[in-house]
Amino acid sequence: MRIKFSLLYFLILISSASFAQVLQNSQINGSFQIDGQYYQTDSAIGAYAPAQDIDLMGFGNLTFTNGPFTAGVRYESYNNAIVGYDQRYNGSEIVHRYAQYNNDGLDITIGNFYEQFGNGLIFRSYQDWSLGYDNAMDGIRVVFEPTKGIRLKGAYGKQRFFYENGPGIVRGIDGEISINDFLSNYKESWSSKKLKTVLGASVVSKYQKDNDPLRKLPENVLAYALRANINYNDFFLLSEYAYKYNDPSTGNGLIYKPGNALYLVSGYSKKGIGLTVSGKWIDNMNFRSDRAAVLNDLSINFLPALPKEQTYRLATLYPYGTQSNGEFSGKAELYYRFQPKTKLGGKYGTQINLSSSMVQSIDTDSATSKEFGPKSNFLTPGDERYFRDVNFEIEKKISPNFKGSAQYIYTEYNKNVIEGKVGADYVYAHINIIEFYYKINTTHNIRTELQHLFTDQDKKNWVMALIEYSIAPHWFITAYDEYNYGNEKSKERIHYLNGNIVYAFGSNRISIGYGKLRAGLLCVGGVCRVVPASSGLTFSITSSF
Amino acid sequence: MNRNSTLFYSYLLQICFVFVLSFSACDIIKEPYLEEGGGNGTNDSVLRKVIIEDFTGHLCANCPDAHRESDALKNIFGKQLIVLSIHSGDFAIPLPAGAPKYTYDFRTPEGNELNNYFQLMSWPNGVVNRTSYGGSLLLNYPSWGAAVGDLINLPAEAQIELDHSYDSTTRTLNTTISVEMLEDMNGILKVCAFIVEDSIINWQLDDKATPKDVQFYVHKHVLRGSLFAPPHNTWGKEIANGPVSSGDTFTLQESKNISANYNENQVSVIAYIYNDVTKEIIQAEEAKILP
Repeated sequence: MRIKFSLLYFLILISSASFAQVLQNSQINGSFQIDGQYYQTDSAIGAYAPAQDIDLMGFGNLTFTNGPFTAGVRYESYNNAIVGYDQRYNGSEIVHRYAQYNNDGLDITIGNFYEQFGNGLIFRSYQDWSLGYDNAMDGIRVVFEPTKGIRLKGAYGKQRFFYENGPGIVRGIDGEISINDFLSNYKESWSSKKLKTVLGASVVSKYQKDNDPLRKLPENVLAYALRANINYNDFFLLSEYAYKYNDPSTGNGLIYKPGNALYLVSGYSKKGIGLTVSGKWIDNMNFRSDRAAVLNDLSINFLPALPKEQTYRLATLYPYGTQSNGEFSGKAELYYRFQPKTKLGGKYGTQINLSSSMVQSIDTDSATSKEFGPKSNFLTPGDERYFRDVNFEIEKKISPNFKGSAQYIYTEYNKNVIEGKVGADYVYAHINIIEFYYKINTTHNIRTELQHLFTDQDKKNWVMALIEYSIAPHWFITAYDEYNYGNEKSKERIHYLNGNIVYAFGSNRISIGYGKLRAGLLCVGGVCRVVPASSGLTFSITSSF
Repeated sequence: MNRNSTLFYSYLLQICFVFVLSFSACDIIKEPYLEEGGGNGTNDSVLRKVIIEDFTGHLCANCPDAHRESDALKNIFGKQLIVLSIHSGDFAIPLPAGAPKYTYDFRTPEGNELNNYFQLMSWPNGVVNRTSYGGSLLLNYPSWGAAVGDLINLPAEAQIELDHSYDSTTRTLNTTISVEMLEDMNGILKVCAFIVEDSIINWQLDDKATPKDVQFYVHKHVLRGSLFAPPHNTWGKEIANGPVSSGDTFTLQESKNISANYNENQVSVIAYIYNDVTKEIIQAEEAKILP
């Protein structure tokens, strides 16, 4: 008996010592977020409290790192998902777990992972809490850098579909070569050359069984993409072309037509000035690991939206959402800073930002084939305009304590196409925004926003005013009112009044808000979700360590 | 060729090899795009019948794709497949009176309730026998065929017979629903029955039509309401709560006035028995009110 106890004691001692040693060289990081809402019914704005009155949702990430080894878990809980988020999230579970080993140029992950090939035209796995979007892969990922300048990536698995995995298997590889870095292995002078070139290519294939009794469906659908990024002095060119083979799905009306996409961004940038010109062509590039999926479910790829992503409240009324079945868009942006102590720069300098974008349908032949849909004419815009905007912003510091900005935004918004609302107005909106910051002393600041939206369509004119008082580094107190004063229906001329208090300490942040939120569309990078009107108390806690 | 070049070409060759391998995972489909043959399409007496509840809307441009899908599936599965078009949700809201089109209201209280129960967020969408397929209850139309195919050849667990007596003068329908269990079961079993009208001509937005606003669209198997009066209109009446044995029979008699706005020659009753806990449909039947 004594021997057994001694042996046990010895083993505990050894394992404790080993464990202590492991812990000594390890690091644990984490982040948490909790969002909640207490609802009040307000039929005037179309806000209805669900039966449970309160919704609370949150997540916690824990990451353990020990040298080249990393492991992590993510727990999510939605009881229930806040109104506007997909209610299929309701429930609680560990949704993300992985182990990763990265050593000597070889990085292997098993479990859940996020990954992107190139610009994401044929593969992007990512998560966005605000959108309620998560298409994490569950499988195996390998990244290998055999030598400087060459990187190979492989990804294999299924995509997250709420608390399950989607039915399709996604597998892809990506190869990228940085010519300068690679050749500098042999001749150092290559790393300092003005012309820098990075070439890449990727292939993604998805598998889904064909159980359709009606039609022959491709069980393996392949897409490939080729890209080149070139830098020369202050100029850059970023380009990617993608092609997808026959992929009948709900998104494209079950047609067998191949899809393709072209994404180009070129620009010039140096101190005080930046110019960017972008273009994008998309034809039938809805690519999902379940051919029956809709909304934001099980997307394999990401098709970035070119129009400027607005942040000011009234400017977010008409956001653009990417049309994966076909769009032709272009954008130009100019940033210029008038230096201090010049005529236009004044004492502190002046900055102007100018951008404009336009999104059209793609040109198609009227002759429609039942199996292939209309034939598209590559790089030819169609007649229907989906979106257009012009943004002009000027920012100026007036005194050491006072600075401001003024912005004009013109938007054309095809509500019919972007929101799928038949018979909806085509909206032409003019938005003016003025923002001021005033620094009272080293810790106390005031920020104000005045916004006005003018349109003859949709819900007509809006005005918005915001005031924020902050006491650095802890307190931020905000109040704002959006007022749809131009609404044709007098009952819908509603004040959407909101108040919000934020307390920040260390890496923690607690916020409580109360008020009415108008219905709208929230878009991030062209991916959108509908936000219904709501009224009541909102609260949020974020923390990380 | 020096060592550096050899290394470079070696890496390039490896990359090309992997890419070539990857391209093998691609199926390119050529004509014919449709499968040959299909289901049995027979109408033997005790076959399992499957219901597709198609949530649709006249302002939903993609919904006709789902209508065409269910038509094609009907051609394969014959009377073993029953389709119920439920106009509900955002795209079923009629335009204001006085608008030149889309003013007709196809919606019903029962359809709205089912729409809310199944938490529809997009249209077209459907449920097949209210049974999950591939982990999902709500199915987009490309999955309907496979989901129906999974169920339709299972042995029937119950038989439903509908016996109508319809007086055209008073427009009164008397229906007897007879259910015979073909399997032993345990649970809460309910029977529900809906009034359906076929071939209603009205506006429909169709993304594949030119022009897209189709004035004389044929709306098929449209849910018009329930055979049962409230509070049983959406979820029907309980016929068993506990064990039932093969051979047990249940009979319900219902009377309903058929609206003068309906074409009585196109009106049918769809009745089904389902498990109230899982909501899964066990058996269904459809019969016109006039021969």
